[in-house]
Amino acid sequence: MSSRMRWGLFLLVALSQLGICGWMIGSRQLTLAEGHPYKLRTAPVDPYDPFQGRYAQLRIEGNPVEKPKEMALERGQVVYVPLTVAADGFARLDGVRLTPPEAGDYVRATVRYSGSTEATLELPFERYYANEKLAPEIERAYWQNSRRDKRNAYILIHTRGGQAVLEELFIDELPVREFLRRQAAASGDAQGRE
Amino acid sequence: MERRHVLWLHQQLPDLIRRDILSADTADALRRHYPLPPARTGLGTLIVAVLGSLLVGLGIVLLVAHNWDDFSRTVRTLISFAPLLFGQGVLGWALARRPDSLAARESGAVLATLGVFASIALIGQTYHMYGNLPGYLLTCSLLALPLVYLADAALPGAIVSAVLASWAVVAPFSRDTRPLLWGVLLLVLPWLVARLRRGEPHWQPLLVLWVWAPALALALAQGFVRLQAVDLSLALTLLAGIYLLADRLWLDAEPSAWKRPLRLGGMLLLVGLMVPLSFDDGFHELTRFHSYIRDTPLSARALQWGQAAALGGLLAWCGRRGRFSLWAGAATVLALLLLASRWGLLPETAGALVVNLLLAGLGALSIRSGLRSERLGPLNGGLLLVALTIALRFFDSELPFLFKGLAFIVIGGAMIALNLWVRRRRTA
Repeated sequence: MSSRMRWGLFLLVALSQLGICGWMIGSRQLTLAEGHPYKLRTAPVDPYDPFQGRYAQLRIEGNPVEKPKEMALERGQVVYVPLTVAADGFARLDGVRLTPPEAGDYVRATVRYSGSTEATLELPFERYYANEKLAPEIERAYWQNSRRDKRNAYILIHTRGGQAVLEELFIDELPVREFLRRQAAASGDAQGRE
Repeated sequence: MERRHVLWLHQQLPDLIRRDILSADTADALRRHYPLPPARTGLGTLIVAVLGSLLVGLGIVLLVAHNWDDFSRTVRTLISFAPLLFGQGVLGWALARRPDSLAARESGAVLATLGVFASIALIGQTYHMYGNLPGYLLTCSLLALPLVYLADAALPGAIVSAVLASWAVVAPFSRDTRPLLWGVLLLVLPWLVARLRRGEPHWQPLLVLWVWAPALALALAQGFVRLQAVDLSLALTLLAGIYLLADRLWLDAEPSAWKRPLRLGGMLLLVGLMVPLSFDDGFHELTRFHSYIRDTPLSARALQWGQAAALGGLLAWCGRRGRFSLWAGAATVLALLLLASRWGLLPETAGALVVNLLLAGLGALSIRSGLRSERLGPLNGGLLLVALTIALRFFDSELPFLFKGLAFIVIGGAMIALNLWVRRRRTA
């Protein structure tokens, strides 16, 4: 391979790699900047669910979603979930469609399991990444605030053209890291007074 | 003449001239007659260079990871580019300043490959992207594989092959599968063929082959695992035949087994396929679930036709060069049996009988080859194959234990006796 050809190929490969990374970032930044924000309640979790790796697995209320009996879905199939905002300001997963709705915001998801009247979907905002030290604390806080008698956790997502980006996990109206900092500060004060 | 000998000669010449043992003209003539070959990178230097680069890269990643949660999204996004830019920078430096250094090119290529995987993973973490492992591996593999050609380096190909092989093993148990991942592995094939045809089975193409050949078999199997068993068997049989013929064409001159991964892989694959088919109901079991599995999709059919065409082409090529392979011939026969079984043309026990004859025949011919050439490898391989075939028949026969016991003694005794005979011949 001649030197010119090699440098040409190097530029092509380097720009392709940077371009793919840039596109991944750019499309999500655009969604965060210009997409419509929605709050989604997290669903009650089984406190014995294992923590998977360096992220907290979130459960979103309304998943599994209802579907018509005549709609046949296969595992891995891409579907579209319209979002509607209820009176309490939180968004709901409004069924499942095979094509994007003509109006309104929606989220692109894939089918995990499908029954006769409902389908469990893989939503693109079910994981909250954190480092190994912080993740167990986030997990504990998420569990404690996602029980049936105490549901203070929700996520904020942005959607644009079917793409959804998870911006933050909120607990007690605070970003989860801020919630944990205040919790740690409060327990430190309590210990000091004792 | 070895490089170190030539180097010694060049080092002696000035002293010989000074002592009037040689004239300057004679010394120049000797230098021209024995030119110093270019220095080759030692394996130790290469390993140290690659490991050193990896440790530097990993150390930087760990330093960043320690403070990751303290960074804003913007800072994390910028840092996500760091592994990629670092790898590209090292590779660019290697190509610009050390284009002839194998260690520099391999190190740069490794860092650039790992940089791709790391950067995309960091972006996924920054934006809490839902894990889609096949999509992630496909994207990273497609971005990393061109580095094999760019840097003329083996390690990116080996890394990608190993990663895809690992995924192929767990994929049947996961929710999402991508049957076409084997296609990604084919992207490294032109580089492999070009290196092998150069006639210098250097460690580079061999390293890639040792990882790539099993990876391709696993990826192919993963693509067929949810289809009919006969289609899976046919795909793997054709692949075994291709491996064996490719070895015959480009690696036949290599004496040591570790330099012929395609031959070993093809043989193991073929024996592994023939063993279950040597039983009476082996072929019947392959098509028993036909009615419960949907028809073979067009993509799988096209793949099988492609494999058959590749096998046919290699057979013709080998035939023109006068290089035949009995094992590849056995693979072709097995493929035809599987096709006949697929179309319902194979009588019930005929297939098993032919497979047993193939196993015993290959074993016997291997023993003969080992005895003639006084090599223990083919001899013992053939003995094992014959012993395996006989042992398997004992499982589905009604012979009494006495007969089976005597047969095992005879086979074991023959193995020991023939080994001793060959060893004595070699030391005589």
